[in-house]
Amino acid sequence: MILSDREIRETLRQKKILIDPLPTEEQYTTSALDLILGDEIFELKTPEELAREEPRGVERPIVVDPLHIDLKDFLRRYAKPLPQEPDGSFILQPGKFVLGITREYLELPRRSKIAARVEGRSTLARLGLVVHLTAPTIHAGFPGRIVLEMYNFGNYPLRLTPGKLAICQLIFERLGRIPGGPVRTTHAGQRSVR
Amino acid sequence: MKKKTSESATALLKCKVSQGMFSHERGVLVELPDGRRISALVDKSSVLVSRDPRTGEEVDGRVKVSVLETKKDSALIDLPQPGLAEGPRLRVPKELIEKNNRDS
Repeated sequence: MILSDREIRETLRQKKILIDPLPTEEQYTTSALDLILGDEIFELKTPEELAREEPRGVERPIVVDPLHIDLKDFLRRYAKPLPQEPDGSFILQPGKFVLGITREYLELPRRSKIAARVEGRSTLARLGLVVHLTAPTIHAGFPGRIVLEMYNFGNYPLRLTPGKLAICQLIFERLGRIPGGPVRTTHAGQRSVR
Repeated sequence: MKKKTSESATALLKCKVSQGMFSHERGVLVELPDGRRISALVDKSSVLVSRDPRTGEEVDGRVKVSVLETKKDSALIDLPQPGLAEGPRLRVPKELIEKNNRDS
């Protein structure tokens, strides 16, 4: 069951979920909550950029193996902040993939029996902006800001302004039961009726 | 047949902690006895460290996990976020788990 705006507000009021900062009334739609773009965006260096950083005479193809990745070194060497404009905004060029975050920090405790889905906004989609490639689900138990995989499929650079732009929407759904935890039965191990 | 379900308990899993990509993130590395190394990016509120790691550094730390089931020598846990190459659910040796006395 999808939560309505009133149910989202009630759930927040009862502290069953946490959103910080608390959403303003303008962030609500009938059955979703708009989230605002956060102030950090990263991009992955291109193979050409990496090749320029190599000493002369060194050539290598780059293959990323998620099974054996050294996260700390990978992020340090291959990710870089997207430059900010003087006014604090970011420019996302056509055909560019970046990682952004929401301004809002979110907690969905398991006992609240609530999960959520991140979706884009149709007005931004018309301009060619997608904000998640796959994995829209925010599972029950999640704590943190939401990381967005953003790509500009459009023909024009897009100015993304943190703190102001409603970048995505969150749809909340109720679970049937609290997730996880052992199932205990008084008849565990039973092999017959008696 | 009566069935009871109980909410999973929280615990702390020993790990190495590094900087994440975003300032609110930390990288966690869980090393299992079978040689697997599970890497995940989690919110910094999910980790406990004596000091913040510097760029390129790993420090000893703990990540908050949900314990779903315990057996004699192992526990089935959920990391706060999925690993890079696997889901959030892992079976880990019990010696890597500590009680979480710090959350209300």
